[in-house]
Amino acid sequence: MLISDVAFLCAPSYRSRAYAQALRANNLLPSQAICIEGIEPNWDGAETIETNFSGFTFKPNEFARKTLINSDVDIIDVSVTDVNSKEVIEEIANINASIIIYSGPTGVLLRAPILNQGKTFLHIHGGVAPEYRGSTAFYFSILHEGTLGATALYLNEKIDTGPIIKHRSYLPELGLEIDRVLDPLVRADLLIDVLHPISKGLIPEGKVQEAAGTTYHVIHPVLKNLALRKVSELLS
Amino acid sequence: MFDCSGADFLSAWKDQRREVKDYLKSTSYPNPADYTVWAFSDEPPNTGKFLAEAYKNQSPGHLAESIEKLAVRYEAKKRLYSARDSKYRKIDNASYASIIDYIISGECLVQLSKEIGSLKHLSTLVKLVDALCTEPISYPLSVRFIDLLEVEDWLVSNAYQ
Repeated sequence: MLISDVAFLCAPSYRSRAYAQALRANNLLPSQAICIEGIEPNWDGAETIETNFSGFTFKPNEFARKTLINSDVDIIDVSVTDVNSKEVIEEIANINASIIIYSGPTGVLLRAPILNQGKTFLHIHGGVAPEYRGSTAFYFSILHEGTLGATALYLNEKIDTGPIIKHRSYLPELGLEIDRVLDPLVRADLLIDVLHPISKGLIPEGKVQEAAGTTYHVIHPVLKNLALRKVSELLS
Repeated sequence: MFDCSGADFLSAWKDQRREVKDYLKSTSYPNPADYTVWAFSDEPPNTGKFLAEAYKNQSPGHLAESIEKLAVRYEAKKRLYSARDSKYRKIDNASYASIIDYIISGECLVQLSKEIGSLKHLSTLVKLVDALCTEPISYPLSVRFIDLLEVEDWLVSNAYQ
């Protein structure tokens, strides 16, 4: 079943791959997908990864576009890498869906022209907002609390400050590397959770973030190393 | 992808920092050739002056607020400028910040990391110290930089525990 009111905007990434595979496994596929250009990351690990997330076996080397094509999703290819470009805005304006699952390039904020197309952008941030906003926030939460989190929110022009639909904390899993596997999978897990009601026409409003929160920048490799050590210790 | 997951990564990083400290300690005395550098080192320019005031007069909460924009700019541009506007954007013709600006910025970040246990500021501090490690630093600023390296080491060790 394709959800007629939902589309998917994706750039090449492990997150897009995890989303597409989780959507397929849970029969929550969008009616359309806008695929923007970019370099697909080259996976060098095991072909499949068994996880407890969202009931599917993750294939990190299966491109999102391929998963979506094989699932009969209507694909719109856009030959640009800039998600705020006029080409992407035109396609956004033309699609029928009102909710767009967002998995665009990392570190890029959507600007007013694309946000003002009358669509709602559903983003899963890799951290529990508002306490952990920004980049690599999950490494900071691992150091602070031993968990990593995800927050489903509607995008606005600022970093991870839009209305929150739901958030959840997760424990690290043994043997799953964080950047390319665990973070994409926990985000996909929460995406599936919030999409179930949306697929039935129950669109959550989202709660405005009132707390000041903290916005993190990319973690220094030394602190990232400490976070990875902490994960190893927690799981040993 | 840059791999920092190895068990030896932290000890290699600590070794590198120790080498910098040892070198600075071996050269931490006034050198006539460096006179113009150290003689005026307690007169920081615009950015440094502002940070020095913030460091002396503000609670950690207010200090965090004061340097938030600077930290955001530094994270984005990976450099500081000697003069800034109210949003910490580089103003026209501003030169790159001097060593003293970086050291004072580092001291503010240390304060926040210590007082409120802020890993966010510690992460920025380690990046800033990375930059300082690539610069020749003369006496007496080298003494302050050695202090910065010592406390950075302590903070990183505590972040792990």
